Amino acid sequence: MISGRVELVGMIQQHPLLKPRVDITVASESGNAKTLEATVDTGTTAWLTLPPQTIRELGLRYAGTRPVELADGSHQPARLYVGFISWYDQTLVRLIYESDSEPLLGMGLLLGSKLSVEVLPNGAVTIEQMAIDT
Amino acid sequence: MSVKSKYVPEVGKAMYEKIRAEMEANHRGKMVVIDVNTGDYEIADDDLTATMRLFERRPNAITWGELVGHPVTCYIGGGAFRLMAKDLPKDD
Repeated sequence: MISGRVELVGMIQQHPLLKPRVDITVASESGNAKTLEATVDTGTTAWLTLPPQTIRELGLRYAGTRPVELADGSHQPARLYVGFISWYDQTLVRLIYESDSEPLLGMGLLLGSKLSVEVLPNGAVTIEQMAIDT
Repeated sequence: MSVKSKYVPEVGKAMYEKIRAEMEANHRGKMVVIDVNTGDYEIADDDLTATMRLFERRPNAITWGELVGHPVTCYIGGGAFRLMAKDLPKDD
């Protein structure tokens, strides 16, 4: 099981702005690894996005560029990198999109998992592997 | 000489246009990954499989990818929320 917490990042018109966050470890082909706080984002279809600075620090291998759609509906080219993601008890080779945002853990990585979020400040976030073949 | 990363979309799209008709006729919904340095390409059900297969054959490949019949390969969501949250104080 992967666990995290819901973080209160601000208020808007008396409503709390909350983000479900978990720690995730990413490594390069040469074994350079980093554990990062990622926001669980069900609006992202990718496995994972990372900011440019993190990608540079890890020294991830540049794989190419892809056309992506951002939340505002615009289409832009985004750089894609090869990364090794620690997920449950496995290390997965995955393609990681570069994005200027905070690290986003997307639906690609969540596929085959049960996501549970207590939507309250400091609420529990849990991601559990489901016993199904995806 | 290899294509610089900022020109990958331009070169990749031009290469894809040459094969688009065949791809859309026969491989709709598949992922096509093109090495922009050589024009060599791979077709698979997903981006990871196509990219890794191409790397096996072309270890120095720099790739452009298209999901056949779709304008994008990925949706990166939550952008407006991120912009709002960044500029807001912790307490209101």
